[in-house]
Amino acid sequence: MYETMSEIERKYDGEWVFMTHCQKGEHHQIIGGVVAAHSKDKSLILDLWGKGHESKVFFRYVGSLPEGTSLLL
Amino acid sequence: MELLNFSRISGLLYVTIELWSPIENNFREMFIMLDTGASITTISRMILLRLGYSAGGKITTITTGSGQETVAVYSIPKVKIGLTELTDVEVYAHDFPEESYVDGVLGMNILENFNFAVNLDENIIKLERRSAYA
Repeated sequence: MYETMSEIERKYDGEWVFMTHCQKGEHHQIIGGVVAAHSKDKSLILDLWGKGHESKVFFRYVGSLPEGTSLLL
Repeated sequence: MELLNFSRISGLLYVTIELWSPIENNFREMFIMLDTGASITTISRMILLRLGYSAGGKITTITTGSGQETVAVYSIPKVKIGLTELTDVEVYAHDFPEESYVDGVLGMNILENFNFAVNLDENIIKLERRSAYA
């Protein structure tokens, strides 16, 4: 079932998501797709993303960094 | 001039770019952190491997906030930022800590192709190709 990115962010907060049949908005962002898998384990998601797919696919972490965490890269 | 949407996650800016995948002979979207503090765009080894890039080429040393590390250097034949396609883009292969939830940083070697302005109210970056880099 197609879901918007906002819906996906709400539903799978704190997880990695793998999406197929993705759509892009006019400013080149992924605006939605079908969540084919979701997990707190990134390696499972990455393995799925790495396989061949006929539709546009995408994966990312949805959610914020854990509280109290800051990034300096 | 074109517009690129970004997401803000814990205050940091993430954009979606397209990387050429030799395995698929097509572009693949990647969610990547915009980092003007990075000289060279850096992508995790796992991502590059799955796109079809293999190690065995040039190695270099990078200096990070926590010291120096050795990384492999790759040339990505095509990278798309919005509608702009850049060719033969150098990227470093480097894994980021799991706790960062990051797989790559979009560094100045790509960003310097553009004059860019970030609008935090609208979550939009205005990109204008620089004539010297066109």
